[in-house]
Amino acid sequence: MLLGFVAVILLEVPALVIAGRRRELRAFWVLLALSFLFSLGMVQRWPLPNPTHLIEAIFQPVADVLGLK
Amino acid sequence: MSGQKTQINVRQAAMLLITPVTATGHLLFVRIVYRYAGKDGWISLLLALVLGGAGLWVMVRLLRRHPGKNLLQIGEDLFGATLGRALGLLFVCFLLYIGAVLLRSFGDFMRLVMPATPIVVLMGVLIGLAARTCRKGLEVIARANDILLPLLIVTGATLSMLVSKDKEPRHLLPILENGWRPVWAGALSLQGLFAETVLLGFFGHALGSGRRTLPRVLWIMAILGVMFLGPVTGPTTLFGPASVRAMVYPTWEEVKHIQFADMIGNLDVMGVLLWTLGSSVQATLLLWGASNGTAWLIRSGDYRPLVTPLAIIVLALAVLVSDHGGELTRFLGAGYPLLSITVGVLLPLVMLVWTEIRLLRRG
Amino acid sequence: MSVRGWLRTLARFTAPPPEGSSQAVQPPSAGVLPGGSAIVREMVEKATTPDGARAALDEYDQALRALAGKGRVRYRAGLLEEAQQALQRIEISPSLGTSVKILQELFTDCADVIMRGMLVGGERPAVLIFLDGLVAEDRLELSILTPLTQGPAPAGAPIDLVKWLEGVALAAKETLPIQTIGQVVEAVLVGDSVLLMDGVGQGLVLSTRFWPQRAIEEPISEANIRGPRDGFIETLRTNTMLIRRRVKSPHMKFEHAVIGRRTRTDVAIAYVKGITSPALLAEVRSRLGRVDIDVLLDSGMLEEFIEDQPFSPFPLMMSTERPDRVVAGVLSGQVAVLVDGSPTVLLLPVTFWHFMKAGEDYYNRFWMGTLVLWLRFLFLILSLLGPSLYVAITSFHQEMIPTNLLLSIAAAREGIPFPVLIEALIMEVFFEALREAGIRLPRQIGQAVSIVGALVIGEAAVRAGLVSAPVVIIVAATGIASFTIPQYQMGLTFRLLRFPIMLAAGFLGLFGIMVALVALLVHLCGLRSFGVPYLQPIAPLDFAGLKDTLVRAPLWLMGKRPGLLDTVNSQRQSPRLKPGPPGGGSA
Repeated sequence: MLLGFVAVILLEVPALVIAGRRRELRAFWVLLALSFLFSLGMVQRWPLPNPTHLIEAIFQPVADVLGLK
Repeated sequence: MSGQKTQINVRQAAMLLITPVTATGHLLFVRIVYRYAGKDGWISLLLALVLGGAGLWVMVRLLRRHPGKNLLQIGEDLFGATLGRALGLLFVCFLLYIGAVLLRSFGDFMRLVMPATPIVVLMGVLIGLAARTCRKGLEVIARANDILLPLLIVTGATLSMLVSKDKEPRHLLPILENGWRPVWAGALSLQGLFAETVLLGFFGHALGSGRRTLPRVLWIMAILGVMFLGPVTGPTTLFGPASVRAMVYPTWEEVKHIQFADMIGNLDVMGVLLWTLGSSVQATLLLWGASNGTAWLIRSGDYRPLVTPLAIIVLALAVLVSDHGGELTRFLGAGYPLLSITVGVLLPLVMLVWTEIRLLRRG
Repeated sequence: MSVRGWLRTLARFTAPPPEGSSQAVQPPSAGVLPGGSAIVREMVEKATTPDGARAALDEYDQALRALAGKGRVRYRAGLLEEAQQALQRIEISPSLGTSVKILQELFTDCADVIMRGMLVGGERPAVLIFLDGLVAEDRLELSILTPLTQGPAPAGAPIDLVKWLEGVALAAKETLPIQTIGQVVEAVLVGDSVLLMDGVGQGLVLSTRFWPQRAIEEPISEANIRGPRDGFIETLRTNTMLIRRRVKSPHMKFEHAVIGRRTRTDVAIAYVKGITSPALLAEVRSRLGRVDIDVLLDSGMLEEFIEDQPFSPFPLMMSTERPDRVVAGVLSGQVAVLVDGSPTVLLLPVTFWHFMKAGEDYYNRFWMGTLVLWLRFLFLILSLLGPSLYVAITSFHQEMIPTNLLLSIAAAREGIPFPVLIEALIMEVFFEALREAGIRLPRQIGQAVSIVGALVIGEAAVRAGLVSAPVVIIVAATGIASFTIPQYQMGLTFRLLRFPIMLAAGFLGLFGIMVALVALLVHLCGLRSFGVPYLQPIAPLDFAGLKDTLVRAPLWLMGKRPGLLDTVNSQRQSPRLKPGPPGGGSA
């Protein structure tokens, strides 16, 4: 997994640095860090929050009314 | 700073909408319709088409009111920078999330065919392909879709012809045996399909330009209707209403059933191929939308560096979204349609109404 | 060159030649000057090099050394051009000895340069310079040397000598007066002869180019049954002739360019004015213009420098040896690039579908053309997917195979030590090796190798239980299928692509194949050849173009040129050409 991330960084970053795209580079790092966290969590089996539960919780009342189960 | 200058025409935009809807629809939602509406699924379909058409109409109308802008730009125009950005973030998260759901359901399905392969590998390959495609830009995606969609349609049509000799239309009777309520629920659940109309907000400038809105929407809906008619009736007429309810992938069972002249048989893998094609297009589009949206949010002119990290996020989410197989199916039937209606129809509707009000006020 | 070096060179020039030593018995040594006729030698001994010319020569020398990477001057683009311009600055001196001396220095050790001294009309010294073997000797002797040495002297004082030579003395086909040493060098190197005359500050280029060339033969890689059988050869002029002979219109243009700093290869850009899109032409010119290379030996080398996407496995230009094909292409709005020394001509831009056509398709009946076209598509898919499908189905999706077939495959595979993927890979690699060996070996042996390889080894391997018979069948069928692709390059591409797809099939089954295919398709959709989408007119869709893509429509229906090339004039022929029985009615 680490190798994969290193590969991604090697593929993407040099071009961005050369082009001097600061903004893109920052966004890239943030997103990559996020995805790294997620992946790490996956591998280490952290109890990450499941977004499905959240959404279900939000819509549950509506779903009940409409008869979707 | 409006992202890539993309040039796709009306037909391509429409086709880009049809492919993903068809692919996921056949794979995932047909079964949910059966669970709610049973053999009356086709009525659900008609209702859903009307609803989906309305959603589509809202979206196209919105785009027409703001020519040359995408959904996020419109949001910022309407609600100011902060609120608009929050809205944009919501849209992006939505795209990422349904991308993950789609990917996961695809992975679950593929596991049936290839039980030995880990699901992460299957999903990883698909999202990797999507990411690679995505970076090539919308024009290339549209062109590839130009070839894939006809291929899908021809194969699908051939498959349903092969199976037609065993179909028994009487299974569809009596109509509305259980009243309207299940049918209505089925229609609502099918609505989840049209989540992709949000995507139109990103690439649909072409649809928004030109003259008439309604005929176009009707056309798209008519095509979709024809494409779904087979799947929502086929399994019932083939296996009878009772057994279909128990099936996890009814359309796939239908394909499996094909036995032709003792020569061609066990074509279930063909189904796999079709869904791989369709899902790859859909995953690509979702990724494209999400990365373009993100690029817009950070005011960047180039979405391509963002694709790979986003793809990894989608993959991780796909592993997360479901703890066990049944959970996702239940969610696709209940939470998901509501989510997609809220984000895909209600939000644009609010935006459209707001636009119209502003226009009226201005005179 | 330093002053001392220059003095040394000068000393070498001015030193008298060793007495009584015959050139024939001497071992070859460095620093041999061309020429050697008595008149020239005498002339050069008396001459000195003027300072201006010396400076320019030094500059030239230095630039060339920099190119070799050993001089003090660092290499930079355009250095050779500068060097050549240095030569262009040296004017031909009215003193014959000076000019000849400079030329001798330039052509040191060029054993094939001949400088023939003579006395025109018995009095005026002149030198004819040419490359031995690159000129037509009989022409040279009959129409140039004979009149000059045996004819009358130039009469009177006021007459212009160059005019006299052109108008009275010489019987050469083409003449051109030149002013500088650089021009002399250029002319001599392409096979023309240059006449320098004492007292005239000019030279005269006489066209004497002639070299042995291959006869025009049927191209081996693009044979056909019906239609013209001539093919391009290695001489640019002959190739342009083959095209010109078919297009008798002044609108058929051949623009000239020179590419290759050392090889100075002639390149011709062929197009039809009034059809070819000017934007395309400008693009071609600019792409050719930026090719700054040392060596250009074949159009294939040029191709790599002017492609749109250099990493794609697909050919982005058509290379053909058939003049009829080039003419058809040029008249539909393509541009042809001809390279001297290469019998293959580049046609561009192309789409994927161009590679599915053989020239013959348009000469046979259209039913046949269409049928063959479909056959090719079918076998194209087979050649791409054959082994992969077998690998995927037998190792992942056995349930797809009808039971009887499954049984026989299982029986055949019994006792095979390898997994299917390895088995198929071994056979494919072996097949490729056979094919390669068949090409490289002399033709007679090549056939023997094929027979030994295919029959003996294949049969023996199956008998010995190393590979199973189905794999051999599949690989053989794939091999045959790949030969139905009419264009050799495209065949290569598909040969190459077969292997990654086989790997994908081996690891992920049909899903892997599908993913690979989608990736391939996306790649194809993103490809452009000189700006034209590679899959047009299928994607993006263009209905008018389909009748020459998916079918071969009757010629009388194809009234318009292909829209994808953005031609200036799209109407190809008169619109109502459908033939019928006499009287036009139903007979």
